[in-house]
Amino acid sequence: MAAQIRNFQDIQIGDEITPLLKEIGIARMMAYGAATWDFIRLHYDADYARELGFEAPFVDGQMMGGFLAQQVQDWAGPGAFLRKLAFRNRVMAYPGDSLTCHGVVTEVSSTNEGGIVECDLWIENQRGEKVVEPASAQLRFPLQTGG
Amino acid sequence: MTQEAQPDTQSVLTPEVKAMIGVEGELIESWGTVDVEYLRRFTQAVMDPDPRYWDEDFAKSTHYGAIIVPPIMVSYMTQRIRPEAEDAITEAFKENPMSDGIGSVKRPGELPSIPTHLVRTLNAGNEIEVYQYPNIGDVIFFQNRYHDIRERVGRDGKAFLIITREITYTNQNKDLLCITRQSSIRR
Repeated sequence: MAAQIRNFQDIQIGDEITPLLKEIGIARMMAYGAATWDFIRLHYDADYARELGFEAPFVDGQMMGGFLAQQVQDWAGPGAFLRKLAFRNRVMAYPGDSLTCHGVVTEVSSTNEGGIVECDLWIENQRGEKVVEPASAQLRFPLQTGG
Repeated sequence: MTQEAQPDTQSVLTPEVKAMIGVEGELIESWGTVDVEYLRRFTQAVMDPDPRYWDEDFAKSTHYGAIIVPPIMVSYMTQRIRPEAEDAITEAFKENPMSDGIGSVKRPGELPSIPTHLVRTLNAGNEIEVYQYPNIGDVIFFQNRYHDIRERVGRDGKAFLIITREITYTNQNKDLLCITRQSSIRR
């Protein structure tokens, strides 16, 4: 949960971004498609996906951006501002997959705008395959408190 | 690994393709507003229980003082089809019963196609730069633009394109909310 407060002054290069686990199911994929007005059948129609050579409907790659944003925001706390997020999808994610978002702090600096923290991120499935890589985020913290 | 095109490789970055860099679509007002129902649907879909997206008392205690919205959420408002437009799903299956669910339905503010014979498209990365978190009640405006088009050569010696499309999102006060960039490989 994101209710914790993290102070910029306590963050160091090499700190781990708390991992975030996501269990993927077809109902969640349907919910995502409905919420985002994305009706592409590859994300919910099993027969259609198999006809095109996929083992099953696969997760919309943009959903990974939602997971990574949540991971860094949960770690950083409600006072932090997610300034930038970049990611590249590498491996398809399917219903039944367990995806874990990982990350590490790579840069910390103070600026006039606030404390800036850069992170490297990636997402692995239960087989240890990198589903998303590379990925990165930049967060801005208030300089005095994290709340 | 890929490399920049060599003189003996047939270039796909033609003057016509290069001319597309910087081409912008119309500024479009997205249908509807950023509302609590959409916020709830989105956070439920990505399984994000963060109270700053639904608990007003908690949100008041934060730096922002009110419920805010994940910026990535507003980027999907470009997909909304206005009620007076042709229904995208009906149209898709009218033209092809085996449609992918979207078909060739044009979205508002779409960019003209890149004039290339290359047809295979692969995702090459996504990026969002956030300037301000959206608020409940915001009206979202967006504009597409071809940000960059580069040529690379694959292991097979064939040239391909990396096309980066940028979408800029603003609110009803013309505040810049975020810019998304999606790169795709065209082979």
